[in-house]
Amino acid sequence: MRTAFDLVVVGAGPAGGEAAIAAARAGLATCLVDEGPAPGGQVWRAPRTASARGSGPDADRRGGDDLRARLAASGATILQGAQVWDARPGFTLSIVGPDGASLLSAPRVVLATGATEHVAPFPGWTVPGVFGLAAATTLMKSQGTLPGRRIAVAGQGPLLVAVASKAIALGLRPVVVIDRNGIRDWSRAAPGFARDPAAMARGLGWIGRLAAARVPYRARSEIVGVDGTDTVRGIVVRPLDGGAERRFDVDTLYVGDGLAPADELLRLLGAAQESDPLQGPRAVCDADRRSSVPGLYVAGDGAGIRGAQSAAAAGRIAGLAAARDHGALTDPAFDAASRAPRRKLWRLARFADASCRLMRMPEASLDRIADQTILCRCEDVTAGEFRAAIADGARDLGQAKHFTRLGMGPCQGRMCLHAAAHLMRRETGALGDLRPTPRAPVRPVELGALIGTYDYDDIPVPKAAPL
Amino acid sequence: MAPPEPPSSAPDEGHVVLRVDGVAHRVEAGQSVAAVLLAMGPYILRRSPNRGGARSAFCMMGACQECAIVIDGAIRRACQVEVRAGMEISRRGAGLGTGASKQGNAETTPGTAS
Repeated sequence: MRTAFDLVVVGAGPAGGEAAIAAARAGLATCLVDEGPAPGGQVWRAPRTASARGSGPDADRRGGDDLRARLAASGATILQGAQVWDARPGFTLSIVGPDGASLLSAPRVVLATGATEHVAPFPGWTVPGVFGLAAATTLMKSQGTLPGRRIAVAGQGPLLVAVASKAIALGLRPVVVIDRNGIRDWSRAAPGFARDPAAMARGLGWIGRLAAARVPYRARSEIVGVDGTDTVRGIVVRPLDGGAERRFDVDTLYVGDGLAPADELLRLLGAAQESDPLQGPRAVCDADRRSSVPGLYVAGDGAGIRGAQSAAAAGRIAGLAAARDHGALTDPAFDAASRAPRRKLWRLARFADASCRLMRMPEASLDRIADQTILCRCEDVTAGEFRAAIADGARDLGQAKHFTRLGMGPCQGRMCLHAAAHLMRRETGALGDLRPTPRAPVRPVELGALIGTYDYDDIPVPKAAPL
Repeated sequence: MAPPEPPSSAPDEGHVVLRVDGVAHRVEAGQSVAAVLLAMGPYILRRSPNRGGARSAFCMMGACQECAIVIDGAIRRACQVEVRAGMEISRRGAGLGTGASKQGNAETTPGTAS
């Protein structure tokens, strides 16, 4: 396979897909690398089973089908099931995929790595049967199923309502929906949501379905804990503004507290980020999506949470900018082609802000994390152990990692570092990004997969020195 | 805990036969290994290396690594691997006994390096 390209795009969601299409159409030899089985990313995920294909296509499916068709016709080389585990300036990307390990090189790279869901830790969030909200959408989109008989849906933001409503459509009516936000928070978001009337109509449809199914809705409430150790037997819920705790018998809990940029490669390449209260650590970039690293472009949620439609627009701009910088597009052609996506980004800014506001990290809840609650799932590090490390002098998460192994397991801190950073900022007054130094491999990779198969005769042996 | 029966309308070629902890199962093609195991129940897939806590898939998008179990002899994220005919799946994580047999933490070996 060819390994040198004009442009490599990492991530085939709305942002990466549009970037690859725009660049390939402009004539750049473009390679699109993606972890999933088909382009679409998390939001426009392709159905993989007959039952998933059988369910009626919704807006996300249509968005994905359209993207997949245009990608197939774009001429871009598409590598699915491939993980990028290292990136070096210039650029060389180390990937491991179905055909083993290889290196891709290109003078330009678009990072469109998407988001990771975060969940504010609570006692029992590690119990089998507790899943992320994003996990629920993944299962419903790609497999057409959702595990559980008596399910609860909890957390915050548009995804909460989407998951609860789509579960009803699958015949699985939630026992209860637990929302950190209240009616007033949602009303405040309405003007922003109105910037994307189609999305707003979809959202109102979800709410309507929940109301019609008479799903019990607990506004301004959160999970206190899970009853059970090997299976979920129930959950305990408390109102945020005080009042009695209440238990619900459920066997499965879907819970999510918003999204954070999946910024491992961005950080590894040394691109500048700035803290943003709504978008998370946001990549510093110009209007054409050029990051602080020459030749490196950023788009989509990986550069700051903005949602699928904004991601698609930003991706298109990034792909066009790469083509322009490569010399494949004249300035007037670039200006003309990027006008529509720029307008779309501008129009959707308030929509994205409204969504992000509903998904903001629940700081008060994080402050209340009990000492016995597990913070780092991989290494079973509790909040108490983490607080003890702070008392012993840890002042950033790299130090806390040395003291406690927090963030040292196979997820590499993806599940715990946001909550841990918040706790540390609160307890020490420390500022800035406290996360440990980014290092390769940014994904756990098997040494066997990197070595591949070889013959001893293939190993170069230097000539013996003359005696 | 176990979800509704799988749909029976799918044609035969839409299924594959694989083995989970040595037992053969016929499952709908196109599913991730994690989806198959969650549907089969119980949810538990492995135990955490340090405290032996029960764990299952969590994020379903390849980030959390909680569903990393032995698939065809290698540790793989069950949510990112699609079922294949003849696949051998073991509900066992890195360095530990099976979750399903609920063996605690007796044979702890050093955790997975990152």
